Parts: sequence; structure tokens; C-alpha cells
Amino acid sequence: MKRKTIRRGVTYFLLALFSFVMAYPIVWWFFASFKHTYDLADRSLWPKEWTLENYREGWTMGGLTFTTFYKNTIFITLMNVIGTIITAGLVAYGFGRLNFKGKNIWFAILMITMMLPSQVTVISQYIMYNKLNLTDTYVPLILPHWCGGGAFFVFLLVQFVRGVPRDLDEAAKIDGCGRWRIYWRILFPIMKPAFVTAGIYSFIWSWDDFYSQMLYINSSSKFTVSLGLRMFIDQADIKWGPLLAMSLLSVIPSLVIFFINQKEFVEGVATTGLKG
Amino acid sequence: MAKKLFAVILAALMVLSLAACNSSTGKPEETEAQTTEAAKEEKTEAAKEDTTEAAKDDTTAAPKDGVIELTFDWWGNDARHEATLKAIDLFNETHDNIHVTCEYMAWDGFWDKMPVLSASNALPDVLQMDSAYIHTYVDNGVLADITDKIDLTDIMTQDQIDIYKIDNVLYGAPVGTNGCGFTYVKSTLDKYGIPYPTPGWTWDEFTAWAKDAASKLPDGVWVMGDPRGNAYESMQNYVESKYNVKILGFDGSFNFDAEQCKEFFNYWQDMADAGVVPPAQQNMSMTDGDATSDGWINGSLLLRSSNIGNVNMEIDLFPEEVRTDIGVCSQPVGDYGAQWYQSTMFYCVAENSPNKEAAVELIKWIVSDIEAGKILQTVRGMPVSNEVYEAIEPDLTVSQRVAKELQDVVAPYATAYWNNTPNDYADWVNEFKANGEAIMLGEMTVDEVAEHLAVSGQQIYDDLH
Repeated sequence: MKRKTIRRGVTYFLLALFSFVMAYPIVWWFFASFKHTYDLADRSLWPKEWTLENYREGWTMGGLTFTTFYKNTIFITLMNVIGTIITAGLVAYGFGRLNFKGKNIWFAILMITMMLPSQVTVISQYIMYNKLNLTDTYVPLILPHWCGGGAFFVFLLVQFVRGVPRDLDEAAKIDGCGRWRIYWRILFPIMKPAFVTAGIYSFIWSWDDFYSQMLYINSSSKFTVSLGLRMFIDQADIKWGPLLAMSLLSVIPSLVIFFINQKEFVEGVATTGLKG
Repeated sequence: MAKKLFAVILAALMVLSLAACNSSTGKPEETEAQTTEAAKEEKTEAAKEDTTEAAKDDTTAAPKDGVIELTFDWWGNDARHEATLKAIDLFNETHDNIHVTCEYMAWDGFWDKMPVLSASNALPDVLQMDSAYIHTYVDNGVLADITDKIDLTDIMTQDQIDIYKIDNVLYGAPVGTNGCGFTYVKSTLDKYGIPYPTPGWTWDEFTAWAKDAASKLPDGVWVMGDPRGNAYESMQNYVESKYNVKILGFDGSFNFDAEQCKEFFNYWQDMADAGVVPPAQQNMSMTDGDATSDGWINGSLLLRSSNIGNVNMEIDLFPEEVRTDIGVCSQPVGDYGAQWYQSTMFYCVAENSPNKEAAVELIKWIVSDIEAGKILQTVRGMPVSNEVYEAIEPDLTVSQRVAKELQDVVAPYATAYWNNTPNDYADWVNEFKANGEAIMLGEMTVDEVAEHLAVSGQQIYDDLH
């Protein structure tokens, strides 16, 4: 009994120690965002003098404020999450349940797109959107998420759909449900954990996206949070204080979303057999 | 079966077509004007704090017939963005026939984005360009020839213009001059009884002065940081000043000379032995531009190699009373001058722009208009035009005035056209840095390094060509 307690104590001590090591940069980041720039190099974690200057100064940027950037990012992110859930769910239902000609080949093509490095397609995509006069709009950022939501999400959901017993479909069929009703009434509710997983990934990826936003958005009033953050870093002049403060704020939405949905998220990951 | 085969072929074609698009060339073809009406309206919002009512009405109105739409892209920090937006508002107000939309980013984002736009034939009409990248963009044929389109003779001499030509063609208008010289705190030199250095001093005079100064300094204080810590640039400057050699030539030549390399490293080894530069460990622990660990700021180094472009920011790290006590001097002068002195930033016109004449008009206005100059101040370095400089002179801070003093002592001793380390040669620069540090730490001898760099440099060079 005593030995067990000691062993447990040691385990917790080690866990706490390593957690601290992992968490230290984040703790440093938190406190540093309240320090004056000239105090940043100071060894003590605790700011000598607490200041909100970084937050005040960082919130405004080139005549705009982060309020605009947050609004823009939230809009893009929500559209992407909704698009992913609606369209990826339907595509997954098609691949997982329906039979049509060339199904396996189409699915293989879809999987191949997952292996394409994004650099390969970037120029052709840019030319396409540019010719359609859609640069400097959010269309290039949102549209792909409304066309099946990407191979990864389809794959994730297909795996889940395949795990749902077909008996449920058949029972519904006998009760007179068509394909659409089977999906909407039977599968859609069951797939909730998988949708939460897909939704969270889609949220975090859209929120953290930088490259395509940088490429397609030109007007600063359409800038997103990640583009706004990048504005703090110039060639020889990095505004560390505001950068730390604003980037700290920028991770809060992802954290909140994750913690709210933690239970479903873990469930979704476990049942689809995919590890993030 | 046939259908299945067809599907497979279709799939293969799709994948191939996606891959093939990457190699699209930058052939000039007609591209759609990049500026949408929406973009135009947004710009007004971006600049709303600085825009007058009149300008707002003007910019939000639907494009009038005959109004030429231009896009202007630059990189920079917040101060540069705000000043440039204001200046462009003034341009739009005063030019009825042209309307400019601004797109601005920080350095990193800019150079991530431009390659894609360049390959897509969709570069903005006017873009800010850096000397490190201009050769690549010229080689890709995406910058317009503006030699005969822009007349800069009212702000600089023909000789000055000619140094910016690449193969006799002008691709960019210089934005602001930059260069490198020494700065020092006068009272510190007084304290140790060291005479002020004389601008235009030769290498011999510099050597004698530095060794004499080193002998007068207490422990923990040195004359200057070790140039071998930034070995590629330092050796390039050294051989350029003494032998007019460009190690990595614009024409693609490779002019590394092991004997010159040995001479450079031996020279600084001798200086290190005389205590002019700090020992390797101390030297490496100093960080330029950091209030506590910058050797010049904390008083452990006498001289600083400062750039005109950012010397004011360095000086601003000093307490106010020191800022008025800064002396300036040129780098040591060899047979071919001291160091580079030129613009490292340019305004270029894209080859794909349908409105090159208007683009040139905008560039000409930015670099020479007095009112524009008053708004832009020194956000892109010292103005090229003297007239513009005189107009902004009264508003400059103490530290910015030092930049001007530095410019005045550096300008007469300029070497031929200098380029930033070309981007492709990052490996070469790293190799050089590692070897320079190996000598400083005593891990390699000068002969070993010269031999090694000759071989590995050639290797890197061959790989790139």
C-alpha cells in the first residue's frame, strides 16, 4: 500500500515536471505579453511592471483594428466549418453507402489529392481565381470547403459511416425512407462525434491558415488575424510586445472550441480510428 | 471495361494537369486588370483615418471613364504603411486620370506572395523591389524596361542612374540611398584619450588607429565587433575595396581567390591578436540592436559598422543625452573605395501591367514630389532627391540627422555597384560564416579555411549553375 503511494507520487512528480517543461514557453508567453519591450530579455518570468500597452498598441494596425481582423476570420472560419460539415458529410455518405459506377476509382482519385503537395497546385489555382476576378475576395478561401470539404474530411467521415451497421439503413428503408431521409434522419445524428472532429479540425486549420489568405487577400480591410499578426514582423523591425499580446489573444478561440467539444472530439477520433 | 479505362486515363490526366501547371512560364500575355471595384472600395476603408472627405468621395465612386487603375504593392512596417497610404491619397487627389490601390505587407509575406503572382502573370503594376531579388525578377522577364520611360535627371546625375542599370537597362527607380560607415560615441573616445577617426582614412591608417586604441582600452572594452562573424559580407567588402573584386559576379562568374581569402582572415587574426576585436565567445554573445547585449550600446565596443538605413534606430537605443554625441566616419578606403553606397530598394513596373505609362508617372511622383517627400519622410531611407531632403530636414530627429551625417561621409568613398547577398547563395553565406567562426574559435587555420572555401564554394556554385 505504502509502496503504491510512493510509486504514484513519483509518477505524478514526473508528470508534473514534464508538463511544466512543456507548458513553460506558454507561461512565459503569457507573462511576456504584459511586459514592456525592454523588459522582455529579463530573466524573471514575472513582469517588473505590468502593462497593457502591448494590447493597446497591438490592437490597432495600419489604421485598422483587430476587431476587423477577428470579424473577417470568424466569418471565413464559420463558413468553412459549415461547408465542411454539410458537403463532406454528403460526399462521405455517397462513398460509404451508395453504389455507383466507378465509385472506387473516384474514391482513389480523391485520396490521391490528399497526397498532392499544395505547392503543386498553388499557381494554377491562383491563375484560375485571378482570371475569374475572384482574388481579393474570400471565395478562394471558402469555396473549396463547399466542394466536399477536402479529402481528409471525406476520408474521416467515410470511415465513420462504414462503421455504422447497415441494419439501421435497412430498417429505415423498410419504414419507407428514401436515400436522403436515411442520411438525414439516421446517419446524420449518429455521425455527430465525427462531425465534431471534422468541425474542430476545419476550424483550427481555417483559423491558423496563413498562406492562402496571404495569397488571395490584398486589401488590408479584408485581412484576417494571421495576416494581421504577420504585419508585426518586418525585415529589421519586429514588434515583439504587440506580437506576443495579439498572438496570445488569437489562440483563445481555438482553445475555447476545443475544450467545449473535448468529449465529442476524443470520441470522434477514437471511433474513426484516426489520430490527429 | 472501356469505361473503366477511360476513367483511369481521365484520373491520370487530371493529376498530370495539376502538376504541369506549376511550370507555367511568365510569358507576357494580356491579363485581366487585377483591381476589382471591391478592392478599390476596401482601400478607402484601409486608409479611412487619413483620408479626407473629398478623397473618400473620389475613391469610392465607380471608376470613371478614362481613369486608369493601378495597384501598388510594398513591404514594410506600420510607419511605412501609414505614411505611404497618406502619400497615395494625395496622389489620387491630385491626379484625376489615375487611381491607385495599395496593397501592403511585411517583408516575409511579400516575398512569399510575389513569386506566385509573378508566375501567374499577375504582378501589381508598381511594386517595391529589393536589390537581393531584382536580378531574379529581371531574369524571369517580369519587370518592365523603364530606361526611356522615366526621367530621373532632375534628382540625380546620369552616372548615378547608370549604376542601377542591369545590362544597360533600367528596371527600377532607386528609392532611398543606403550605405555603411562607422559610428562612435565621442565622449567614450575622449574618456580613453583616443583621437576621433578621420573620414577617408586608408586601411593602413585604420589599422594603426585601431591598434593604438586597443592599447589604451581597459579589459572588457574593444575597438569593434569581429567582422569574421559575418564573414561573407566582410570579405566581399574587403576585396571590393582593395581589389575591385565581386566574389559572386552578376554575370554568373565565380571570382573567389584563396590568396585574397587568406589575406582577409590573416588581417583580422592580426587585429584579434592586438586586442582590437573581442575573443570569439564574447563576440558571439553580442546581439546588435538589443538594448542589453549590443556591445556598442552597452559601452564594450567603440566603433559600430552602421547602415544609413537603420542607424537612427540603433542610436535611439541610447539615452537621449548620448544621441547628440555621436560621431561618424567612413569605412577604411582602399584603391577602389571604402564600401557600397547606393539604393537597395527600387520601384519597379511589372511587365504584365497594361498601364506602364501611368505606373511610371506614379513612381516619378513618389521619388521627386516635395509634398510626397514630406509625408514619406525617411520611411524608406534617405530620399534620393536633395530637394526632397531639404524639405524634410527641419522635421528630422537627432538620430535621423546622424543618418544624414553618415551619408555625407560615406558617399565620397563609394565602391562600384553592390548587391545584397544574392538569395540563391544562402548556402555559400552559411558556409562562410561557419568557417569564419571556426577560425575565431581556433578550430581551423586560415590556410585550411581558404582551401576548404575554394573547394566547397566552387561546389555550391556548380550546383547552382
